[in-house]
Amino acid sequence: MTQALQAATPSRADGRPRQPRTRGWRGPRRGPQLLSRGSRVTMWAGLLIALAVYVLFGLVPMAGNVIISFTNYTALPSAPVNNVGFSNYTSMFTSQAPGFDQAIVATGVFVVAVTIGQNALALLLAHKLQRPGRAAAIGRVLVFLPIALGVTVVGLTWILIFNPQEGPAASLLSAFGVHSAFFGSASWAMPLVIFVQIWQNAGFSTLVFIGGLRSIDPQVYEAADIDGVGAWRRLRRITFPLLAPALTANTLFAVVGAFTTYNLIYVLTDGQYGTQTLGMLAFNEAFGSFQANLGYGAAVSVFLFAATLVVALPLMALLRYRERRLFS
Amino acid sequence: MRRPRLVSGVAMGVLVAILFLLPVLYVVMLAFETPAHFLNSPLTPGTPAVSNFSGAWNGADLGVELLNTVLYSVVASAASTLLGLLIAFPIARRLIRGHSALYTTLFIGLFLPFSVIPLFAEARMLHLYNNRPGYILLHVEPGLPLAVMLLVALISSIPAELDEAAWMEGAGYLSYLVRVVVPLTRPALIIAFLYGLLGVWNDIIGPVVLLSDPSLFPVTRGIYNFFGSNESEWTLLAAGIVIASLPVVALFAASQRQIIRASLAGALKG
Amino acid sequence: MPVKKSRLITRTRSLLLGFLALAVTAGGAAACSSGSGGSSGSTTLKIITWVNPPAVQALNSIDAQFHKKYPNINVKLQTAVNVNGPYETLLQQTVTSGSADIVTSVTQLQPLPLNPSRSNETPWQYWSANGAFAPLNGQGFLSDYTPAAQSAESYQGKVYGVVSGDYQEGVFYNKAIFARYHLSAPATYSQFLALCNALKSHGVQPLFTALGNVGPVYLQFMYYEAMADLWYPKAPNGNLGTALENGSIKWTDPAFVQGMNEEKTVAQYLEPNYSGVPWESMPGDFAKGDAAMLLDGSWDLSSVQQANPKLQVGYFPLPFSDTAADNQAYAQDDLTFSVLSSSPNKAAAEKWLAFFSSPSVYAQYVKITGISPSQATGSYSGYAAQVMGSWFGKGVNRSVLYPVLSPNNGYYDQETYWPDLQLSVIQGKMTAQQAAATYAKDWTASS
Repeated sequence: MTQALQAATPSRADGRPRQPRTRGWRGPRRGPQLLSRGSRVTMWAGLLIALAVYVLFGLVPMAGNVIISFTNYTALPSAPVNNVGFSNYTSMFTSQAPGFDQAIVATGVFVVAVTIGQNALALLLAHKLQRPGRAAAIGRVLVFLPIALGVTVVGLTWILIFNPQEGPAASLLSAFGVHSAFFGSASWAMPLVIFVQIWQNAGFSTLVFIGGLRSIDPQVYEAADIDGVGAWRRLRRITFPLLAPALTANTLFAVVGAFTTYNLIYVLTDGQYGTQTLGMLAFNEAFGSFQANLGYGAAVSVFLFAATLVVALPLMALLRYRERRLFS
Repeated sequence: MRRPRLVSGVAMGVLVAILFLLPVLYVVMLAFETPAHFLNSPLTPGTPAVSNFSGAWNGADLGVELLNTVLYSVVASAASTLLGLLIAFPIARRLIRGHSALYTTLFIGLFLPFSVIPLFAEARMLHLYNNRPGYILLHVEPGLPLAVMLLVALISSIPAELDEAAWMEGAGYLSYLVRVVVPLTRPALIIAFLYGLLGVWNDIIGPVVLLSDPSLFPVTRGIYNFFGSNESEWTLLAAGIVIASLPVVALFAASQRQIIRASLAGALKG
Repeated sequence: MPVKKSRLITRTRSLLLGFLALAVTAGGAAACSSGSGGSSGSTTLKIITWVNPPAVQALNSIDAQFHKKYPNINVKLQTAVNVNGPYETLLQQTVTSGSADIVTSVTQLQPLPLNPSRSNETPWQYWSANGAFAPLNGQGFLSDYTPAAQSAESYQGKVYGVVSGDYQEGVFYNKAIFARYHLSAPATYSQFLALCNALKSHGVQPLFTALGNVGPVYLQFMYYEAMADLWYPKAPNGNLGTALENGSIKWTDPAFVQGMNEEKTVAQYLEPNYSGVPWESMPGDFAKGDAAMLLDGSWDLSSVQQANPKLQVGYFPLPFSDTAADNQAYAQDDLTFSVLSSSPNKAAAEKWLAFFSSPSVYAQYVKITGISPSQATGSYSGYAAQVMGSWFGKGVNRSVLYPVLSPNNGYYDQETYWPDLQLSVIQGKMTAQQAAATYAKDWTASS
């Protein structure tokens, strides 16, 4: 199939071969004619079981969020659940429920800073850590360590380090005349939380970039060396474009992760001092202190899902488009 | 000929050491300090003591918690990877009607948050609240969409002739998957497994909402409780952190080559 | 190449098998270790509470004694990190899923809002009013408690909880430091400021408190006092809460504004970066002598004593008024026990409460926790009673000081709202007038 297609595809104006444009697996159905009946049953059984898990624990809860967001559900079995219409949504947008505006800003800052920071750091690290050799291997273990250690260990480690009273950071920074309550300060808490999130997750991004770097044909670099291409130019013109698939994946992981997870924020500050992102807000409204507003929390979750889609889908489309352009 | 470099290897080494090694060393140092020494001079190591470790081990019941963590993470992510394969194969081979729509449905799953509010209600309704099988089952779905995405991409690159040849000879569906597809899609399987594993491993919101019996807690939850109850006994806490981290470090150091090699094959080009 | 690949595959396979084997053993071991204590005839009573170290200590000791008396009842105490976050989450899940027998609360059922509804009741009030707790009327131990304690947990004639005592808040001072500089406990606001200045001039950290890991809610050590000293005396019928609720006093009252401004002044004498210092370290740091005065609640007294038994500690309520007679201590009902109505072990739970309330056991509890007793009779001489002297057990109770506010209201008394506003005033991001006006605006908008 491929050869004939390639022959039939007209080449580009500059003579470089163009990839045949097939619809790949998205093409028309071929049908499982070759599978025996028993195997077909197995296939359907497997597919349906897996789908059941996905629907029951992925889609149904999101639908549940929507339903609960229209009620004043408190999870108490003996209490009545009333339909409150759109009041949970309107109270999000009026100043009556403070924290929501701040949560949007916090989420925006968090997502952008973590995505850019994590990818930048990972790229920098991957560059050196993809080499063979003992030093690079140790480096890879160290860099991957934070995510392997777990969110509580990471959170508590940094709380220890940034303890305003007895911590090393406080001592070090006071030598420069900087004093702060760190995680208790409205101006330091968010940057610190962003830093720890990046610190924890950079390992996984580095891994992805290393995979991407290793898949680049070394002959490309040799050709560049022969042509005397400098380091910076090599990075910009050769490495970075060739890393497009890895960059797409990493950006997606980082954006979706920053939007939807708040485990680290919970451990570090529980959303106080300006670090309350939308996810943290939904959790605190539902399960945090003296609240039990599960309806409102569900409304915030629905909003969060919509926001994630609104940001991530176009971003992903953009990155895929770039990939296709670079690789065609 | 010397290849031009942007950042020197030494500079990188220093960066990695300061950023990633120092915090770890600080915690390890704390774990070996006596509480009295820490109160007086928190930044310098004193004569090493190991009393903190027994205190931490007993105080936080770390043994059971470590076992729980491993159980939950490994089983849930193995399940999501395998279930992902069972969805991905029919989609990639176009064996069912509406495979494209199905793919899109799974794609949306990449953006779903872990909806604890309805899951709390659902868990109680389905008797999945506060027990091990329930907790594991509730954590299978988050890794599923990525597994499907990666596997569809990789399976597409396996020639269809392979299936046809095997099936014409009467090979069963599952045995074909296990014997042929799994080895060939190993990179995607490993990345999906790892991603799922790390998700469950790093979950503290899940244990807080979905578990109430302390003997079921994973380490993330156990250590968190331990923190509040020990006030300013930071040395004990540091020892707890070290204990909780050791198995993971050992395991990762042993397996990192496999993982790196897995990401080699550009499993993400899809 | 094939040889290398197969070696890789077998190694990966063995690694994966290793993982799975570990997981299976983990499952087996964990399953075995969790299935203990279920022998026939014995019940397990589960109690949840937050980490208040002396209280946990007291409860553990009481549980051990209870088990000796009733060998077929095992008591399990489950704790969560602090009352203002993780414990509330645990409490909520426990109540709604019925996974414990006795739960503890730091807030009370009464007073209810003037027009109670789901949108303005706290979860504890909502649960009490909707059958989450078993009524305790008719239980013998109830009559041990003062009528005030009983009515704090009553709704429509049924008593749903047992208030085990009051904690008080204020200033605990290091007597040795005071003696060294010839200082004595101040009775008015101006005297307090003079005291702080004197300490500062000698290079001593005057005042210490810590908001880390709990949040600005601990600013209550100041703002409740300010309200009690400056505003409460002006309340009609001695109930500021009701007056604010029915609008006969406004949030923009000058007394309230004055209180916030005074808080701002007092906060200057706190240690730098107090908002980041973990609250758990308060007793230890004070016991070390890091500061002359500790702004805290009496629940931490036992921890102070344990950290440094030789420390001589005194107490005075933080005075915000220049009229000495107006300066009262602030007290709040605390550690309230309720039995879940869905509990299968109600009889055992009631036995436990009866045991707890018996005079000798209760006296131990008061001694260890430093709580002011809520029982009608009995004499108590523990460390807290000694330190607080004539102030022990006396003060303005929160129930007459602060109105019950709507959770959906902009500045309900929760750490993400009202205390944040206080912190803004203290840090100069907002004036006291602005804060009071914001409060009044959101209050009228929602009530």
